[in-house]
Amino acid sequence: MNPLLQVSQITKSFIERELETRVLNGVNFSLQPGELVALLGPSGSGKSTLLSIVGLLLSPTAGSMRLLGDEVAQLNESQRSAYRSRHLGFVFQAHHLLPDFTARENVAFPAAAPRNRMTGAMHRRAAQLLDQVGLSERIDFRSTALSGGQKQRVAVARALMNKPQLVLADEPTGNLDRETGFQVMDLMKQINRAEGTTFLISTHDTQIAERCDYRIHLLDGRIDRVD
Amino acid sequence: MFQWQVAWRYLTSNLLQSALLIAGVALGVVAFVFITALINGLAIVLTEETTGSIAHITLEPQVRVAPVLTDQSDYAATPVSNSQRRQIRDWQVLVSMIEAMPGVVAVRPEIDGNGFLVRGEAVAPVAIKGIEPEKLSVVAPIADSIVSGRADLSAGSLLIGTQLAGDLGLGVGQPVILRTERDRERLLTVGGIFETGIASVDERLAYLNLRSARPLFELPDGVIQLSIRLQDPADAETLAPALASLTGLHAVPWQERNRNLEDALAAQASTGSLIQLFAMVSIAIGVASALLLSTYRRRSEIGIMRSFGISRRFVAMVFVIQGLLVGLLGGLVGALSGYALCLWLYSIRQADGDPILPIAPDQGGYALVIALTTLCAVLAAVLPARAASRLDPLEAIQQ
Ligand SMILES: Nc1ncnc2c1ncn2[C@@H]1O[C@H](COP(=O)(O)OP(=O)(O)OP(=O)(O)O)[C@@H](O)[C@H]1O
Ligand SMILES: [Mg+2]
Repeated sequence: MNPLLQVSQITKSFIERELETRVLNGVNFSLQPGELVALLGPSGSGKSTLLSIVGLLLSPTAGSMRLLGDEVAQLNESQRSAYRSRHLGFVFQAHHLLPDFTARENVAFPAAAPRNRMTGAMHRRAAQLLDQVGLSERIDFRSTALSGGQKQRVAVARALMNKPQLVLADEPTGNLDRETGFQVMDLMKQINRAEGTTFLISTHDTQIAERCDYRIHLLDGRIDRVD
Repeated sequence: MFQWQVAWRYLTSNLLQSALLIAGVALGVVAFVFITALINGLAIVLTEETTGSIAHITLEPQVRVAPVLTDQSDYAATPVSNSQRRQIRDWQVLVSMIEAMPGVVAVRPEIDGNGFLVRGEAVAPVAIKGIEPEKLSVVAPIADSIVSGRADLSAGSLLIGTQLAGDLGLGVGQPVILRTERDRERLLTVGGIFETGIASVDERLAYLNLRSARPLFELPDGVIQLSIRLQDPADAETLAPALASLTGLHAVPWQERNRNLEDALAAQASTGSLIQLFAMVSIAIGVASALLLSTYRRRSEIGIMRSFGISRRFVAMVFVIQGLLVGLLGGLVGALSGYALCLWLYSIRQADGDPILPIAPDQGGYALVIALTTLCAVLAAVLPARAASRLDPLEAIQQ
């Protein structure tokens, strides 16, 4: 089977006050469609940086990256933007919901904006996704009226709105208590099993990582091991 | 359009802040409307003052120069020597013809000429208007300006201004000799004294019966000019050429003799434009700073939108539309408030019944100000919109 994502020899350096720090130093790995993968590593090991590069939010200093068969490391800003819209979903540590919109509108937003209209079909899909994440009773709540765990579940639903092939989650449970964190994790696993959506989830929590198919360990800018 | 929904949601999310912003814009619009209505009102008053007591179009005989005699004989008009008296002979026909024209209120045939009033040792120059008695007040409201005596233009009666009467020590019923430029003399009686408030008129002008004027100016049947009053003085410049070609006479619209009024109005208008410009600039600065603040406050939201792959264009448009809505709403609210303010100012009257300010409430440039304000607000939103659309999603999210 063709890999969904193939990362080869990715390096990333940040230059600050003429001092170059190499955060990633030759990262290689690939993801198969339908996998649920954890990204582990100590703080500062470059997990967020790697997810940003894979998510086309950050350009690598060197290396190549194939996503769905396309070479994506050197795309320009508007191409990357279009690619993100069509193929990728994001969940961040902070939910980043739009406070002026309801849960349903937040979920539908990534579909409505590129077409510049909110259709009934989008509303229905958003409601269905909210149902899937267990929030069928909260669909028309303002996002500010939801609890932390509920907000993060809305964020998961929103990441799925455009039917992405790959969802990148950067410490999605980092702001939640353990129990709520597990619920959100189980939700992602359930979606992964039901829809076959590929997930790459960075976390510090080994119990969260345990729930994934396998774990990629990042250390000193390289992949230390995969288990 | 989803962009409009998002822009509207952003504007209504903080009602107090948006209301203040729109109020600020509206205030600038009120200033714009006020100054526009005032400048236009002033122009109307000044024009009315000027056109209220003068002929709107004057028809005079052409200045005819005897053509050089050649063997060409295709001249339509018979060559006439310039030594001939300039006069309008067929004026009776012309008067009834022009009076029947739409837009024309009255036509007054006049024998205009100069002379001296002599009373004993005292002599004063005078400009004589020989007119038909029933047309005394069709150009300037002379009958209403009579301060002593009557508006009586029967044969042998003279109406003079207060200043002239004072200069010669003349009172109503007293005799005075008129000596004309044709060197004719006649003893006349002062029938009435008028005061128009226009110094040159009160000092120099005298009205005389047309028939009495004929022998004095040696015009047995012609007149010197026709004074025409129009319903709308503004039509004078378009009607004059038509009248000229219709009558073959030289037609002079009032504007030609009052160029200084035009200059004064132009100077006022440019002062007004400067204030209008300041109003627009302050509106633009207000909108730009408010929206810039909003992009800063919302940068994490903008970052998350951009991370979903929502285009820069979409983000920019959301802010441009907010500018447009603020401009449109501020323009509408400001135009309405400005109109109310002008109406109120217009309703405050002086003792003589005139408004304290010569403001024209229906001349506030309302459509213009709404359009300009919307345009300014859209342009002012471009800067914040660009700032928002260029936000790096990663930086915004990691805040
Ligand atoms: N924009 C940047 N400019 C300079 N240095 C950066 C930048 N972003 C990240 N770094 C550096 O890169 C290194 C890796 O950061 P990154 O956020 O990827 O780590 P992480 O594994 O996600 O850590 P954590 O578990 O704490 O989230 C850090 O040393 C950080 O200081
Ligand atoms: Mg991180």
